[in-house]
Amino acid sequence: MLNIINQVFEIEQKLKARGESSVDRNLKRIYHELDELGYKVIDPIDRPYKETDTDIEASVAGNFNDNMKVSRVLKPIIYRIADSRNELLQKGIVLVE
Amino acid sequence: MSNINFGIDLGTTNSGIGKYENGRVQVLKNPIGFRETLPSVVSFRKGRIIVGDKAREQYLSNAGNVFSAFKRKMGLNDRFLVNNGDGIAELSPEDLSANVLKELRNYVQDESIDAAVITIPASFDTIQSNATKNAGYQAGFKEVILLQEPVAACVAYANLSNLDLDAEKNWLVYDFGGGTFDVALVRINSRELKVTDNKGNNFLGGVDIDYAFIEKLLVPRLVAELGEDDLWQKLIRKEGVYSKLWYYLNYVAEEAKKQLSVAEKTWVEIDFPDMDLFFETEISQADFNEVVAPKYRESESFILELLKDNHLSFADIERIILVGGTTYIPYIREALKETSGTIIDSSIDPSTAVISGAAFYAGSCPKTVVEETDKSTKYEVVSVFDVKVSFEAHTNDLEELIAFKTLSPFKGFYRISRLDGGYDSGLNAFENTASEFVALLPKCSNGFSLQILNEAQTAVFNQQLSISQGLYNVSGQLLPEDICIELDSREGGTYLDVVFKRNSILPLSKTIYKTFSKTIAKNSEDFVIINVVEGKGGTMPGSNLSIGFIEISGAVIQDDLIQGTDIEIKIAIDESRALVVEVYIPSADQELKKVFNISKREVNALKMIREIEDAEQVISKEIRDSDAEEAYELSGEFKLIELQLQGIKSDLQRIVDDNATEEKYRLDEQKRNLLKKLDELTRGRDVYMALNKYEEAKDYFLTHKDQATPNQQQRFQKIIATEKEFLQSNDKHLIGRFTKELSALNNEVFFQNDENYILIFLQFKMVEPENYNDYPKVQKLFDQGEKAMENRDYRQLKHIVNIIYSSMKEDYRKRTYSETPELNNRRGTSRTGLK
Repeated sequence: MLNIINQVFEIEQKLKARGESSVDRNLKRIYHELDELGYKVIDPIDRPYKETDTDIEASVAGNFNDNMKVSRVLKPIIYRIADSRNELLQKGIVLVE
Repeated sequence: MSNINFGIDLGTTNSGIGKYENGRVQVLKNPIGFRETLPSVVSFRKGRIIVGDKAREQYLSNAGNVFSAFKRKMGLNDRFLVNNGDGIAELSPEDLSANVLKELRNYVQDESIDAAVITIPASFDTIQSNATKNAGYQAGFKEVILLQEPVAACVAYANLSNLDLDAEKNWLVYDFGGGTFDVALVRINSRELKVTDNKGNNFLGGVDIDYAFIEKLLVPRLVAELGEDDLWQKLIRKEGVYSKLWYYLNYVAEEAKKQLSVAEKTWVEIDFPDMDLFFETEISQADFNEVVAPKYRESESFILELLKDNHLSFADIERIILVGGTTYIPYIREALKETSGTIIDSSIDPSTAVISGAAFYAGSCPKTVVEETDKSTKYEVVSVFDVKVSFEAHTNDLEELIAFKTLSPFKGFYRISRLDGGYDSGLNAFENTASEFVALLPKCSNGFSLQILNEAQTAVFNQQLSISQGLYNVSGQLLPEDICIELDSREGGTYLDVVFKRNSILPLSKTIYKTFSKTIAKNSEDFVIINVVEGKGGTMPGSNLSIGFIEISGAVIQDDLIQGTDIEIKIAIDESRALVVEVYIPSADQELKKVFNISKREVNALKMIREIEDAEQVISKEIRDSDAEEAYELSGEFKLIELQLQGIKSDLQRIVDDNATEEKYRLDEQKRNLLKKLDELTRGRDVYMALNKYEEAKDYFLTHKDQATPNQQQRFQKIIATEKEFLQSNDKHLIGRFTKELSALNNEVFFQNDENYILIFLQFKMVEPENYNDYPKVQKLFDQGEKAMENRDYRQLKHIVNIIYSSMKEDYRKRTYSETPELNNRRGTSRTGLK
């Protein structure tokens, strides 16, 4: 399932980069269905970089400072939401600047 | 006296901990991030100590505060200057190693750990070994046993493989890690394992292969694309945009390497908008092997030297044991096999082999320290002082403050981690009082663990707490009633499906996906109704307040609406309670949007009439049933409601076209009150019956659990996991939905056993002939079925049962097998046009 989610996310990123919005609804629907299955997919783009966020694996470009942000998301964060206990299934792979 | 049982691989690049229990070893996972290995990297920033992945992230960009590879400096006088929040402190390699060891101790959540076997390289001298031991004591271990890494690896292999060790043998341990390479010659017999010699390079590892992949395979192709001949120099200088490109290429290389370990070729896609760069290129395993080969040859030269020094050849080596993540590369394994001609043993995970071996060894080492907690193996954190913890349990923010203070003076550390692994504060200096903003996962309950540790970093207080994000909020605006949408029920009427639950925080927005339960031709007078209702989910739709009503008729649609196709409905309510309903019909690519101001109630007389007609049907059945049971008082109550509803209906018929007066609002109010009363009279019993049906279905599954496949058992557990919520909902439709799911599961379990068809076959034989369409034909089928039973040909019997079933008259089939969804595709009359 994680591979499928990553592929959907990658397709979404490519379409976004090309300004293509005709399949937005279909993507939204896919994320909705994933949500129903208990998968919460989070795109951390623009999130301020914090060393306490253990749900991302960051490559930090440039000199470290307090205003760094996630500038590129290569893989999204994926949680499995359950009544008893939530679980981090995949850390987001990101570039931070 | 118990054994040590815990083994630690304190590596240059990565570390890990394993536990021996009942003859088996388990490599423990990091509770934060759930990985088995922990990068041996420590960062200090603004009083916060972080060990592992998050520290490694900052290694290059925040070099002054992040420390790694300190193992190479063990036993030396080198000191690292650290800003620990109180000022600048000098830390030794032992101090930093102790931090890694303390972090690994944290992996052990539910028992005490005061002794461990810690591995060291075979090349470590006495001073380096003692420094490692000191780091262990500093980390809080009362007893530390050292074990050489190659020996640990051999122990792991020897214990996990049934090897014949009668004669003395020579093994080579080939350890190619992320940053270092070691090769050791080990002599092994039935009694002992001994490292006789070793060689290595502290600056040869997997990371060199990663860089070579970028330099030799990606950069030349990028140069051709960009025309920048000095690209490699720019990348390694990591200036400006090239720094970002460098990290991006590292990711691309990592993904490509994964692909090439399973496929001959892979397509690599470079998509880097910052430099307007997009192209694809193919890389083969042969290309990759060319990159790996020089690094392999470098490692091979150490092996040859080691053998020469010990007057041995490969013929004297019984097997080569692989250790370290780099040995996953197929070329390395193949080249090693070709060069040596001996057994290459990769039967256990090379990246955790040393941890496993250390834990196996620990399982055989008796503890010599006397420990107070030995009486009870369960680790209980005793609160030595009172701690007052305050936080907002329900919030709408994505960060929340947790504040805490000790009621008596205390100095040490605190650490807050989210139980799902997505947040970790790291270790923070603590004196009497502290507070921390913690990140929350939206729209769910977030569990946290708050730990307070003494100066030796041993936990003295541990509390779990929970913060709900976006679920409830005491200070926000709450939704006073459920918001539901009216849908067609299987039985023919309608029911309310909850969209937003009562007490959710405004604003709210949700997209739901439904299907059309009937076909509506373009330009026809037929229509679909979207009715958004405020009230209790599970009650009669007409007894609640309609707050948004959209009729999509044949006149407004651009194309026919086909039964079974989807409709997307977005429902949003803002803080001022304005309701926005947006509808999108994918098959017609048509959008409709309507904003409702709830202060202006919209009611539709024709819909009200239909609701009353539905209720009348329910009432006549109730009157019949109560009369039959001689419950005349109850029957009287139903008759009264019926009478009043009839009055309202005739008033409504008079004012269908009246949009001027407020008469229909008055009638709507009356109708809702009456339907509410009707609902109260019938709902308790219906819910009771729905609950009974659910329990029956659940019992059936539990008694036949052994016949269910693992997948079916998993589906059953999934339903059971949510049962508390729907069983308490008081909503017969919701309970019914889950009962239906369970029944479908039960049917699957039943029908997957061909022998069960005997029972069905015998039942079919008892059915009266008039209930079959072509009885003579059915009789022949009965004869064939008897034969199939005699021959125990259950597959044939199954086939015959299915034909007999299809020969049954439809109304009888529906009446008798309505609870068998696979056998009966029952459908009620469509009211809303949505299901």
